[in-house]
Amino acid sequence: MSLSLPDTPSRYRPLGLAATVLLAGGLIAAALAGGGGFLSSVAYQLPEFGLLVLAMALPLIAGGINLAILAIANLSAVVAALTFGAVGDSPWLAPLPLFAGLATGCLTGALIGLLIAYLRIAPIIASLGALLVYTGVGILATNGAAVTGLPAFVPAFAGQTVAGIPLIALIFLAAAILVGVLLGRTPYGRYLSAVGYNETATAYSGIDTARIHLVAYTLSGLLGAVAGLVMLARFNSARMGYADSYLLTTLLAAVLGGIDPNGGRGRLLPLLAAIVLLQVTASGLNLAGANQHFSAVAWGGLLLAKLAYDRLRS
Amino acid sequence: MAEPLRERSAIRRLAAGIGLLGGAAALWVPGFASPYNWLDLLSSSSITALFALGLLVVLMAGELDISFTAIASVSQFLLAVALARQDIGWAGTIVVSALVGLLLGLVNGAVATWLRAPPIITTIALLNVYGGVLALISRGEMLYDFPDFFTYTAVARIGGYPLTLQTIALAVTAVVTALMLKATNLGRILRAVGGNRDAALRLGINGMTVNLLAYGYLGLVSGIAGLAHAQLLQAVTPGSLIGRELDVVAATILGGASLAGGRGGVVGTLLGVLFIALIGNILVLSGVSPYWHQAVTGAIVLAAVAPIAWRHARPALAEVA
Repeated sequence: MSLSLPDTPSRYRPLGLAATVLLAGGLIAAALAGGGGFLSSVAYQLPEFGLLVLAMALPLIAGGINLAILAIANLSAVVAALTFGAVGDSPWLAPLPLFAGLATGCLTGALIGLLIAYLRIAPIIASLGALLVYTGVGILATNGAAVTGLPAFVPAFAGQTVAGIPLIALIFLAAAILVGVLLGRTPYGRYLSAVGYNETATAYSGIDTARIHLVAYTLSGLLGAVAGLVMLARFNSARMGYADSYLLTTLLAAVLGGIDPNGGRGRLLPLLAAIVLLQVTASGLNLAGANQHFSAVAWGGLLLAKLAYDRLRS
Repeated sequence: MAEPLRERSAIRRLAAGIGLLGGAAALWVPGFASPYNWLDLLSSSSITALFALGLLVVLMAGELDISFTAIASVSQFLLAVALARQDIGWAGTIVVSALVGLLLGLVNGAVATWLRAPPIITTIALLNVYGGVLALISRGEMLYDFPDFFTYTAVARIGGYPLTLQTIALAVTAVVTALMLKATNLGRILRAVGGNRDAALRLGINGMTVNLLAYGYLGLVSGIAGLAHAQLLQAVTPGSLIGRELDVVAATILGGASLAGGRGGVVGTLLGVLFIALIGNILVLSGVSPYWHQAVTGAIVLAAVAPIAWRHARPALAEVA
């Protein structure tokens, strides 16, 4: 069965151009202001944010939303950290906690997917209920405190580089490429967009839309878990509530990256440009000593401006 | 006539749940049956209930706004600033809170309607803008030291029990909201727009006007909730209300309202808030870790919504809950 969707590259060209120009400008300004140290701090901060944006992007493309990505990321990190505590410091057993963390992400994501796909609960409610449950469980398991005492190779992992590039940045890049291939080169990617455009029509085309949702949220959970593990290594600890402010910025990056908030459209390259652009700006603001409230206003305002821009063009 | 049925079944199940939970707690949890515990429960859940009633109206119209905690925070901050300069009395206090809330609510309505993006995304942005601007302007400093009239716990007494400002605000809002939804043309229009927006718009109903009314009403009620919260704590800590929005959404949905619009009612909403507050109250009184509250709340909301969503699911798979 073939399925063709409205082709929209013309919508991307001016946006992509604008993003590239902004990005280049931002990078140059940043490099001038902060030098190589700045760029390397961007490279270390970007992966967790980028992975979370990818985790948000898949449900958005399917016309849904996953409000629980940070709870999933933190819960996965907590599970991994607690497993590290159980298995001890042996690097040979390190795959076990990693696997536990990733499995937590898949399961918690899949549970939201099941609620949406088979019980037909609206994504906002399903992921909101899940957010409450996951946060509650995570806090119960940790008494609300940070889990520390990880083996020394965990924080060391976050500092490792390959050919000068941080390993965690390469992990993000690999995840991004896989998501890009999934979106642009596989039938699943087309079906995901189709579900986002018009679920009813897609269902009547003989496509199992429930499975499309289930896979989207499972992958969202998995990407969230990878982000959680990256945070675990970077912060050398795990706690429910880390990085909660990312909810706004992941939505902002997704929408700036050309994903239609009403579902349907989404491609990797503009998304990557938005991720890099936002991280450079955020790190720049950080460096300039701007406080978090100023950032919240800026990000919220930028999101509204992008939505207004799209509205005026349509 | 699926709508009243759904609402009534939500009310029936919540009432049964509250009855069972309350009955069991009265028997086994020491301190639960005391009237002071109930008054405490009422006062502490009244702020959530106010938000929930405002949110109900927005959900009814098929919209969603989660920035109400930020609206309440802005309004109580401006109120505290005004009270620090001048004794504006109860009338002035109420007018300031309600006006600030109404104004921001109208802004939300206009922005969310015009942008045509999912309102959850638009209002997450607005929540951050309001909260951020408030934090920048207030520098996070706590405001207290209110004029005398504002500090009395009991506005009146009935049979020796205090009648608090929070209780009165909740009662008035509940009655007004119920009347608006049940007995006015506006309520019918809200229900119509929420039930089937396209059909309602083709009947000549102006979607922007209806949304302005709905978001404006939530803003106004949020302003009052900010006032009630400031009076309860006798202090305004900028942003201390922010972060509670998703719990309010959960309680309202539990009460039978639907994100798809057109469904829900005041009684169900109040019972939804009460049910969640009751669970928290019992957990605290019985010495169980309050950390359970969030997990239990989430699980109950999902368990309550799932069968309704499932029953309403059609082959063409439109979302319902």
